Amino acid sequence: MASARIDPLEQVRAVTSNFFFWQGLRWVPMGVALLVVTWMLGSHTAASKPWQSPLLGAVMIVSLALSAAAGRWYDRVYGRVRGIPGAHARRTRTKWLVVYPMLLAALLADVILRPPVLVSGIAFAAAIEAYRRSTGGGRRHYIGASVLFLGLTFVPVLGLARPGIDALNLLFGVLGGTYVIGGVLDHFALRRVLPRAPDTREHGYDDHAGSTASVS
Amino acid sequence: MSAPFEHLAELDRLVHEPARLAIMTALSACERADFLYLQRLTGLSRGNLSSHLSKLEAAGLVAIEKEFVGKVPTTRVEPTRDGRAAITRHWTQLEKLRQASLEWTPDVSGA
Repeated sequence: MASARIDPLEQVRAVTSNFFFWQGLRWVPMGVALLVVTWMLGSHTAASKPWQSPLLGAVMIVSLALSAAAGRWYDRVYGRVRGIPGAHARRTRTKWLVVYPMLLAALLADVILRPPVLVSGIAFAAAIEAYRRSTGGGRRHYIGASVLFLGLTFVPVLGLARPGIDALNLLFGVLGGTYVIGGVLDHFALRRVLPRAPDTREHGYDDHAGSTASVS
Repeated sequence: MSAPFEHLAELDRLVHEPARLAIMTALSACERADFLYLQRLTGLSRGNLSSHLSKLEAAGLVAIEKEFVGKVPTTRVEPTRDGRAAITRHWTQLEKLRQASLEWTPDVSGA
């Protein structure tokens, strides 16, 4: 009985502490941009070379602008939370000292050594699971994503893509799709945790000052 | 061993009330939060949430600040040092109660 009452409150704490990361629609434009970039840089793309660089730049700028707009929308509709400075120092340290170097090493290994298995698949699977756990847990769709990336490890050996750049291009395409689908599912997960209250006024307005309770 | 439920009386009733427990738990995980966020989190009406916040403020557990973001009035709620201590203490007590209840064996001998 005790655990049944405590678990939702643990989720309250987890979501509040990691509110930014649960705002899934922020990640969708990034995912679309990654998909476009992957498609353009793919070996079979129809995009003309002279237009690639400006188009890539435009895609990145638009995706960043849309992501920022999604952030402002979350502020208006779900309210704002300011995190405790330094509360996630361990996560930040792990990210920069372990996860990013691991991803970089795996990418370099795949590009330079071209092994028959895609090492980056394992690295990205581990990184996604670390992300899920360190940003409040739950969101089982990321477990599915990790399994998918583990599956990508065998793409070269199964002959679905050539070792090296081709296999990595496929991996980044899947990563873009993961951003899009994961972002949408994150958004639904956030909606379940923060449902609309009966008389919620969006756009940040509240009438606390007008309530009968005395406040300073 | 004493029955675990004896310690129930020691719980801080101001914090233990479900809505206020959710509010304080959320605030303990951040530096401050908007009224809107707390409303969506608790599912309370504006009036109810306002009332709970006022009780917490009167007890010195939260500080409430109103400001305009552009032309929009916004209420920001921040746990005080006492508030953080109170919710931490409360969670410790709840955890002790939970542990005690798991370890507790009722005396069924009738002695």
